[in-house]
Amino acid sequence: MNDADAVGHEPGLEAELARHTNDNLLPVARIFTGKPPTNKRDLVAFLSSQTRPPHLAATLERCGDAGRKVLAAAAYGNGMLRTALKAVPGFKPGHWMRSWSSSARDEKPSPVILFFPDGCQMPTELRRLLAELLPAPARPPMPVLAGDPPGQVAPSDPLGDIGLILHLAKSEGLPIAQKTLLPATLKRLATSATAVTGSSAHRPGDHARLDALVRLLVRGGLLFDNGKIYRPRQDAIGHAELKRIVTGYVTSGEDEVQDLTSLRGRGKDWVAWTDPHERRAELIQAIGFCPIGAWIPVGEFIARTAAIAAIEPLLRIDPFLSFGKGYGCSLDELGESGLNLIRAAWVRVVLFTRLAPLGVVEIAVGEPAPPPAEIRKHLDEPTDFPVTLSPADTLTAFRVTALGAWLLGFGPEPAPETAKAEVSTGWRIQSDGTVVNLGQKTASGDRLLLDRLGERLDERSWRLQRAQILALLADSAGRETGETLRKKLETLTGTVLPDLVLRLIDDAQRRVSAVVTEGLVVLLRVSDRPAAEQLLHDRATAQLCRDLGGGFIAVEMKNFDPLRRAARKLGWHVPDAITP
Amino acid sequence: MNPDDPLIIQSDRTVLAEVDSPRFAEVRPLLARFAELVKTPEHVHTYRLTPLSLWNARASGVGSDEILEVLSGFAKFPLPSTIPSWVRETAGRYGRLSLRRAPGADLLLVADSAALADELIGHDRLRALLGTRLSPTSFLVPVEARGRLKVTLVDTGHPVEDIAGYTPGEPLRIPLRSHSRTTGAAFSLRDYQRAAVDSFHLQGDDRGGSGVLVLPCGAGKTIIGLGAMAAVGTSTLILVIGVTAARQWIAEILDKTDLTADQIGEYDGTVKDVKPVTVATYQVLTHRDRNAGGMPHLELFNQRDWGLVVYDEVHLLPAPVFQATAGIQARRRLGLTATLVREDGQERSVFALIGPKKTDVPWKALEATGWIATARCTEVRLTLPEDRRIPYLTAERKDQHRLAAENPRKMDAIRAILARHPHEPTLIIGLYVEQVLAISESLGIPHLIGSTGQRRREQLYADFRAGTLRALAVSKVANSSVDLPDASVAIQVSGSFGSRQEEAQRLGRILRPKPGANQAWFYTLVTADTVEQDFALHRQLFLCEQGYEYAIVDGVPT
Repeated sequence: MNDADAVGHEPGLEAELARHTNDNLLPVARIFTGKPPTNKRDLVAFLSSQTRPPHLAATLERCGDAGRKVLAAAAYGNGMLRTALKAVPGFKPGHWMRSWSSSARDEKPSPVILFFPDGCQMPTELRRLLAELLPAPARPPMPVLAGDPPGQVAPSDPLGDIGLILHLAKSEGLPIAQKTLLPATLKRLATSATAVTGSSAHRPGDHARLDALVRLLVRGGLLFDNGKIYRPRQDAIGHAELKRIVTGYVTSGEDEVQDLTSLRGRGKDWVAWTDPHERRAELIQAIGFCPIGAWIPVGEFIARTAAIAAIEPLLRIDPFLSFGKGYGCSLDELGESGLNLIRAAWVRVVLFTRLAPLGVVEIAVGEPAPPPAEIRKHLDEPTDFPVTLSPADTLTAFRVTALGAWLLGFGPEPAPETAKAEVSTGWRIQSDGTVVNLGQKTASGDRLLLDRLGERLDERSWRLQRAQILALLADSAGRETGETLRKKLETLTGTVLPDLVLRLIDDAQRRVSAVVTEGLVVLLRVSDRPAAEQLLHDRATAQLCRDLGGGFIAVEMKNFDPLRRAARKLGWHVPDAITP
Repeated sequence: MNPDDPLIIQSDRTVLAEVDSPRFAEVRPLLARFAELVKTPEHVHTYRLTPLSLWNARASGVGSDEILEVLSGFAKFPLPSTIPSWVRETAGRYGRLSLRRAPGADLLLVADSAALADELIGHDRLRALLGTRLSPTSFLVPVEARGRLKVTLVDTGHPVEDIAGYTPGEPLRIPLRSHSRTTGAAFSLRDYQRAAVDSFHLQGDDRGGSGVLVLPCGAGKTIIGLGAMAAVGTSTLILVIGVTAARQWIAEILDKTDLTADQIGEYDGTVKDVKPVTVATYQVLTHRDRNAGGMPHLELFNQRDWGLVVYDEVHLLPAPVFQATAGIQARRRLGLTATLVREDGQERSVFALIGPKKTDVPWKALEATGWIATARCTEVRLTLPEDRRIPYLTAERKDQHRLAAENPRKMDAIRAILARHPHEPTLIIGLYVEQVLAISESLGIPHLIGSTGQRRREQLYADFRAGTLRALAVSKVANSSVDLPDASVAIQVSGSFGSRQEEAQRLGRILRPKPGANQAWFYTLVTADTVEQDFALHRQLFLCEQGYEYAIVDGVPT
């Protein structure tokens, strides 16, 4: 790939036309005049002028209704010719390359071809010009699902997830190395996140989502790097901070195509050809046309959006781009189908690992769709092709949340959930110390509380553990007591606690408060008995020290200097202590 | 889907069942057919779907559609997307292979597809057991490989339906009596006992005749065994875990069937009598001959043409008996147990060699209908006397358990409990023989320990049954199948507290139905703030998980 193909390159019409030979340009020029210029520079200028006023209106007239539909599709959506052609099935724009095939030589070009000088994409300047003259194509309503989405719903709780991550980072440090979560951290996060995703069977997806969320938090300045340990800057965040993170992500230059794990470029590097920022902006604009709260099958969304938005992740066919590991199909074999596949995978990655963790959308996950028939026909063996390009391929449907509409600027700010709404009503607490959620959703606060009090048994169950309760009481510096825990659990479950659970808490409380650290003492060993007796019983020193027996006397640190002075007056020398 | 429905199915294949749901009673028996019961605390019972549980279900005629119908029909929320496909795929494995009679002496293994047959011969262990491939989907199987093949197929995830039939065995009429021979009381199988027998026998069909019946302690497994013997009507070998159990079986057979003493043999360490109905102990079967080597008594399996082999307490079946059982797959086999859970994880061998689960009667159902007693578990926490405290704290870790177990304050607690239940027959169970002897001496009650002679044991049992003996101190022998029908109170003064089996067995001693309130009490004496209390936590957890009422009392109960 050369520099001209790099991200953001937009050479303009004349520069692109100049790449073609006179032989290729002349058939197009003859659409407009019987005597086209023969000099290449004049020829390029002539063709370019046909796309701009005052000739533009006449050129559009020559395009006919069908051609104008194609141009409108490209101007208002995906600027690629092959995508725009979907606006008019069967429309033949002709070819720039006369030597492309024998049949192409006989095919007369349409004026439409002029707006796609490289055979693929319309320059942005022409899109802007056309958008002023052509009405936007009708945008059919997005198809929505009537009932439950296929697969399993992963409830969206961004503030809860972020709270969990911040909590973990604060309480024990969140070890992250080289922008990737360590496996143990991932496991812990995924375990904690199963209630959010609703399924431990989608652990790879949980990993992807949480990993992405951590990266977003780092970029948003809520986690900061401290060597290999990230630590939170604050305890919790609200809507405003969340919006800041979303805005930061939307305007970032990161390219999610790189999350497609089964896609390989030439060597180890590859470069996407379209600007990821613009591409993402187009996708988000398309999301804005989705009815809020309605489930949308993701396959339908991708197909519809591909036709109306510039969301191509890749512009050109690169024969060196391959799927799979050693036996994959290269993109030049798969052609259009391969590009469609990458685009679909990219959209899923954005929805699954970026917008869902941020609470913009709620998603449903299930079995990944099999490769489409046009891909399967290229395969000899099932191992030729990866089953999925990323964990996000399990995405089956999504819906824009009210919070998401606000975060993306499509709707009003929803009222923050009140603490009361967070409390679930389906909790049961049992004599064996298990706490089970029979309600639909586990609120993040409940999850955090129970993660600290016990061991997670499955998606909905915890078992209270004495050691963890003890640690919580001990580490809370008096903020938590057995009584506050009892109240929290009773509030959670809406019932009095079973006797055995009360005993468990009481026992932990007793063990926490049984030993009190009084502070540092100095230990005196007094070998002279009269000295010991005088220190222990004299009115001046008796209150300052305590007999430990065996010739040992303890002196609290605060009393040590007064004792030394008093002892000196009594005629004894107490050596200075080595203080820490 | 309805929030009032009782089930939540999770993607890790556990099923939570809400006890308070109005539809819980409806779903519980349905769920028991295809899911393993894990625990039954007061509000939410936990079941687990496993390959074995699904294959057991298929073996009893429950299909994957029916399973999914129950799961989704009683579910609060939609099933996780992975569950339907996993259930269909796993349950669908049962029935794809069948073992049939072949013309001649061999058997025929038939697969439902050539691809499956190809997969089988791809396994080294299976290939070694298979004979000639007769067609793309069938193999000859040497008859002696029947058991090993079934185990290996289960191990490789391909359960086989064994419909090769059974040898009829020597015919023997075993009619059940309508009245007890000894007491004259009316006798007949209870409904659930009759249903269990029918599910095993299947009216003589080849799909019946081998399998395991799971019933709680006190549900009358011996009686069900007799029912099965009567239904099959053939010479029977009964394997039990000890001499006491063997003699109780013999007593029950004589009491409740028309068989006479000369038709019943006892085969154990002291007597080796082989009769049309023979009761043998696992211990004697696995006795190793030091001179000749091997286990000569395993030959008992072939000494007669047994038509039925009954395995009592099948969860304790020793490994050598499994191996011998692999060689008698042509005989009908009945396993009886209170739990399919084996501490050694050999549940697959039980499935392959004894047979699939045929019935599982939950104890709560029997408790509700009065067939077993309601048990109340109480943990009594006692502090160590001052003079024992320091020796305990300074003792080696391994000695601390015993020092805690032998807390002298336990004696006061025993007295208090005995005073609390002055008319209830009471067992006092201890781990340490010296402690049992001390209790016996201090309270003036007889004791029963491992060295107690058989005659003395039987006398004690007789006195206990007759009510002339109110309390009995016993050592670990209480863990075995001692049948003390009138024990209402158990006081556990020491124990390892770690084994689920031990706990279940001890509790089982008092669960048999009682006259009157049908109430039993299970006390455990624990020394507070010692390692014994930590152990007691396991036990507390186990009993709570099983759904028993559990309370903790500090100090000697009043």
